[in-house]
Amino acid sequence: MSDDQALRSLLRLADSGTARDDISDALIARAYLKRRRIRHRRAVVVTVLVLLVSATPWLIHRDHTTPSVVSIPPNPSLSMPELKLAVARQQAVVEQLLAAEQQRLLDQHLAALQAKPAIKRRIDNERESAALAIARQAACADAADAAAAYEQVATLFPQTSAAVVARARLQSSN
Amino acid sequence: VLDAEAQQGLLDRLRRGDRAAFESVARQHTPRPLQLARRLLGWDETEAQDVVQDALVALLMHPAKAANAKNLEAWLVTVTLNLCRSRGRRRAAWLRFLRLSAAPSPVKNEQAADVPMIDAELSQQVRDAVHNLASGDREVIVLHYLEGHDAADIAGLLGIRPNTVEVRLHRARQRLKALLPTVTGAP
Repeated sequence: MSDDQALRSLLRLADSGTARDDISDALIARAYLKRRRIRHRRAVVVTVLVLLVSATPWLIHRDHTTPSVVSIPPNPSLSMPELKLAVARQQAVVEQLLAAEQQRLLDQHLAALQAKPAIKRRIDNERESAALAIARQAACADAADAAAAYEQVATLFPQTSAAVVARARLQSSN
Repeated sequence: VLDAEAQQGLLDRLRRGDRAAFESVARQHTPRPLQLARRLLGWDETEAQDVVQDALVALLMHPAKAANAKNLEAWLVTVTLNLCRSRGRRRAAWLRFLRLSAAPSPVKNEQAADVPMIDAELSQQVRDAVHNLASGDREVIVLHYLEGHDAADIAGLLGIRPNTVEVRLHRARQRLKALLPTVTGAP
């Protein structure tokens, strides 16, 4: 037997009994699971990249002149009084922003309330009552005061029935 | 064995995400890559299954690449071979990093029950010797002696010239004989 044949026989002997043709269900299931994991990982990476790319122009071109309320840039050359002044300025900016934000929220809340029919009806009734009260006072007053009162009713509560009467009185007196 | 048309149909179904098609491909075409992986990875069943699993993942992720191959099984064999090589490189890098010169021994419980004890010992010696070969030598030995490929086939699989395969095979044979002196009678 040649060396080559001997080597072949030895290798065949080492390999004997290892051939199994069955591919298990677990192997197939594991392949599916691994693909899902890879896809998930890729989706996460792509999302992060997209976010980074989207944020880059904003990071590069953002308006640095806008007063920053996040922090005071570190500057070791600042003395303590200068530092205190810088802190006070930052606080003032924060307070301004907070006040503006509070006002905005208040307006928003008021607009939302006025949009509700029940609230709107109540406000209209209050206006009507106030206009009537002024009109009644005007009816008891002299001509000059009455004209001023009717003028006031027509200007302040233009949508009320008292304002219609006031305008009519003003026209007739003219 | 599927003809080209049937294989194309199977791959079309696979591309549409048909799980039954994938299972069919796995059951029909994976035994040979699995056996190759066992032989290249020191008859370690767990490692071999991991590699074949990765080959199946490659098939799931890139069915179009498999569809371009003339033979699906040959494509899976090539992918498995490449995965075994990269796994071997990673392991070698780790061993270098950890400064461990001795490679881990191949698994010793893979012997068939009907192999006599003396043969089992001899068989283990041969497996150890094959496993301790450099990966390039092990590839040509396994592909030539166990997979039955000639130099031209091996050259195609490994992406090298046939002459290089012949030279590598000759050297690998010498090294294997040197690792098995009591068996082959090498000096």
